[in-house]
Amino acid sequence: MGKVIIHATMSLDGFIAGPHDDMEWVFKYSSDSMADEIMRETGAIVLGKRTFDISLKNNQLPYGATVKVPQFVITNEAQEAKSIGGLVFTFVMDGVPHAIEMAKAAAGNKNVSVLGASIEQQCLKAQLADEIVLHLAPVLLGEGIRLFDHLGPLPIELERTEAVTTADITSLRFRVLKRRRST
Amino acid sequence: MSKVTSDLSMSLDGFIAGALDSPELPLGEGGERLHQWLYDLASWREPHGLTGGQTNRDSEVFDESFRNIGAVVMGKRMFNHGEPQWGDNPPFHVPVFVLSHEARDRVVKQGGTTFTFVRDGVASALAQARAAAGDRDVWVPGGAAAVQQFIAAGLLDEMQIHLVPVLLGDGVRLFDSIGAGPIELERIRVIESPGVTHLQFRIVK
Repeated sequence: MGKVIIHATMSLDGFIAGPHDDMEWVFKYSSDSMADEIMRETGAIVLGKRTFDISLKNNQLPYGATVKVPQFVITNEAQEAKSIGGLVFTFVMDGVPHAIEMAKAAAGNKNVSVLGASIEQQCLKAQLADEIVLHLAPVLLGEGIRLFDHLGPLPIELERTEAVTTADITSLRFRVLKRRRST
Repeated sequence: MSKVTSDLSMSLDGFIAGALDSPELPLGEGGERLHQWLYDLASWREPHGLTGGQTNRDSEVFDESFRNIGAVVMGKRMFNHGEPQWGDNPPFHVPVFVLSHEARDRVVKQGGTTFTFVRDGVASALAQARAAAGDRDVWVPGGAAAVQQFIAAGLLDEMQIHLVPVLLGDGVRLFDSIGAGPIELERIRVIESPGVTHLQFRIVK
């Protein structure tokens, strides 16, 4: 059974996009072996409608459209599936858990990558995420869209299972430990 | 040339203390988790007047950041929260300059720690700290607002983040209101300990 992986490049101050949804800042950093491994082992992708819209607008499809796997977009409006850039996007209307379930079924033994702050937050809160993979960039963006926001009082314990460093990026892989029931 | 440095234990979601921090609960709700990696280290225990503890890589990391400190600049919130815990012999053992809005007489404690209250801003506090530190470093241990002011004013040279593998969900964010960036950093060291990842950065000016 594949895992559900939250995957993002994040500035040291916690942003995955700069002001006005800017994603250009990410491209000055090089990819690394951990990113390659995650992409190789991805069997399906789940993203929010907003992330989908921004991807289309900026002509930056998930993983540069190099990972040819089913894509599930969580949305409020019914839409026919679309094929864009060799990727097939299916629109899922009944919430994050259902979209994750569909993506897991589509991924088979491979993993599900979750992209976009809002969906990632919902996955964490609903305890649907098995791992978090972050490429930590050496920059303070100051403003933008935070990856870890609106989580509410938790805590969620993690275990760092892997670290890879390149000249600039620090890639960290965490296992999400299952929460004990609060007493 | 002496450096201006900072060391902070931060959760993966960016908090250096939990919610509802106060002098009674200096690290806020659940915030003790962020300092858990420190309490059993020999190098942390010694300046706190405690004996024993582990002498491992984490202990060296803490010792390194503490060893070359000649003066400290801290925020008022950290002082207010810390003062009741520190007692008569605070763990700094050097002159401490507290960013403050109120006039208050200098406080002389045991073990070399003095608290001087500076009302005219970070640059002035830093100038006084540099003078006191000589060729040793000036350390900015917190709170978040003080570190943010140093970053925003371009006065911080290096910072070490001790990244703790937990999501607190709520609390005091380290990187808040530093203004529109980007501020470029250069990672100068990574140490992967089992319970914490030490990330050291130089701030590119």
